[in-house]
Amino acid sequence: MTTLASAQAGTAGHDTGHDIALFEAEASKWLQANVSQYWRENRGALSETEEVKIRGEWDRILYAGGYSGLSIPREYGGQGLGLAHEVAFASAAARAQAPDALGRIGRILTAPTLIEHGTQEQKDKYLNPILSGEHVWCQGFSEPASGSDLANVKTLATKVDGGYTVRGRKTWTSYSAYSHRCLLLVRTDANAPRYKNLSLFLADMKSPGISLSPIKQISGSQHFSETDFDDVFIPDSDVLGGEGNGWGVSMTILKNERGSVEGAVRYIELRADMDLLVNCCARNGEYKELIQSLDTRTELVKWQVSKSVAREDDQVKFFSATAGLKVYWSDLWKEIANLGIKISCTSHRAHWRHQYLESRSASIYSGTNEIQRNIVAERVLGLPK
Amino acid sequence: MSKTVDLELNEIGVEAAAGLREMLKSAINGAPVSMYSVAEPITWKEFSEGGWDAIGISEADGGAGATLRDLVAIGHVWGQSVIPSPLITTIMAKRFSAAARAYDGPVSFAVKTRSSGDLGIIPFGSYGETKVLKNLTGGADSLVSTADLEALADDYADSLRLAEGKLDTEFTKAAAEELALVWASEAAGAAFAMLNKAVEYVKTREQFGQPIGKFQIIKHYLADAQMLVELAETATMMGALDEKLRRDSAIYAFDASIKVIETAIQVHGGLGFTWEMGIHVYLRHATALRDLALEILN
Repeated sequence: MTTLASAQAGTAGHDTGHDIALFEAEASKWLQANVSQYWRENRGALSETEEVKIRGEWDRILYAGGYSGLSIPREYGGQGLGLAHEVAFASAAARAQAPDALGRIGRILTAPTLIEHGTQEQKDKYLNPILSGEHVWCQGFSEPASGSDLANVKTLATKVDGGYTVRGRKTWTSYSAYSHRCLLLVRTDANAPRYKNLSLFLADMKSPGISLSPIKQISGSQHFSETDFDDVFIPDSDVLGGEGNGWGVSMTILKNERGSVEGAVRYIELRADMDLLVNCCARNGEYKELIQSLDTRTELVKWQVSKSVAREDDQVKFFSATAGLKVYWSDLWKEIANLGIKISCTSHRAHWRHQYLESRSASIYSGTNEIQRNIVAERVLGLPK
Repeated sequence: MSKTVDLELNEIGVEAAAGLREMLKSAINGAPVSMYSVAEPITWKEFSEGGWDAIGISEADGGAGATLRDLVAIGHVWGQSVIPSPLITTIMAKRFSAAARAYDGPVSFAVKTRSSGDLGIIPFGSYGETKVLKNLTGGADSLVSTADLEALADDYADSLRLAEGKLDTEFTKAAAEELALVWASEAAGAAFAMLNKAVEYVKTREQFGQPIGKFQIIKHYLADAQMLVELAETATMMGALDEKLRRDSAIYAFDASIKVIETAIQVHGGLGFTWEMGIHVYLRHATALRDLALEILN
């Protein structure tokens, strides 16, 4: 079995356009049959509980259908396909208005990072529940005083017998209330120099000493929280990539958070919003040129991701293609929502009000767009720091 | 160089703007907007007994005779704190309607928008004894109660206590444009306040060992916002003094102001999109009023 799986995994990235088209057609058929009508019609106006429930179910439906972890190698329980398949699936999912997986952080951030930095034991323990939708992950990076300046995190882990005790406060922890595990960035050395003093823990959210205070967002949603760690024990076996290597591991996580798979997933949401504008709210052909431009730019998200996939083997070109993606889709989403709230029809008013307010946060979370622009300027263009 | 136009306020405008600023400040008393927007920091009785609602009535009709330029200044002050009280709609209703002048309570309008379907959106339609003007057509005006309109509260903007009811107020072009301009001036005031809040924040919030206001991109964002705040205010002055430009000035002021409030959220980082920080109260206020204004201007 392992031999066969590895052999199939080995073909990833070398699929022909024909294979991809076949895959997309099949996925499309499957999505049409599996995305609930209820979600399609009400997705902008659901209560938090309802939304989380549907998205959690979607994780399990994806897994059962064989569409979970498309670009994760088969030996780790994924589908062993390439990024091109992720993009193809995202296109099909966009057309079907599929929900966003609740386990997105686990799939997009944790899984590839575990594969790159995890021990065999960690991979065996954590990958399968992520892909099956059993475990939802959250991300414990930002702190009240360390947002953009991530390397400055102050949450301190002190070495004890068999592990560490963690004290500190994280913030903007998305979906923490529904999460089983947390990618937790901590300082493991109070004295070591910047970048060398951090470690990445795979924290169990049920550990004694963790408490959550929900943060209400401007849209009225509450899927963020402050997360307090009050002497929380983390065993040695849950350190990812070794003590002191937290910065490097975090860079892998952030690369994935701002990269192509995330871009492909974001395309789904942007496309669905554009479809509402084009097919419904923009009656009488108003704002025709603006809508045309937004539509083209939405398709460009997908094409930019596809281009980056084609550049996968060339690190420089790949980085050039992906470094600005997060700025690009988040600013575009805001523009779409700006128009949406202005020209909403009656039945989509709640949706556009929510998207307008919610999209304000997209240029702030996952690393502010100002930080992203610094990355493009300094690391792509090589401008002086 | 001689003055080309007179931008100054009348005495009533100067006094009212200053008095109102003082009154709002002491009523709010440092409370955060996310708290006071769901409370009632000043009761209607205080405004009504102080004669504030009669400020825009012409002297011939027994009012204080504030000009549109004065009312724009008052709207600007109002927008800086967006307390949830129907003063501005009542001032404007009484300026144009005898029926509104004959009623002691708050008065508002119902505006059918493209997203409200067959119902009209009524600012302060879910506030106490608000009555709604049916028509402003120059002839006999009349008021109707929100109960008669079967008005239902809409919680989008706490500072506007919106409701939806079965009415679409008829406006004259002149009344619609004056109302839209004063609402636009509220948005300009909101933008001014949010720019100040953002400036204070970036001076104190530190990342990478320095106040974030030292980073050039933050400076440029806020410099652009500062220019928009200036121009939004100028647009409302221009609209007050030049009838031909009134409609377009109002639209410009709304768009510029909303952009500034959006920038204020961005530079506040994560805190900007928290409910508690309250910038959204201003954003919701300005976007809700823009919807109504665009509709009555078209």
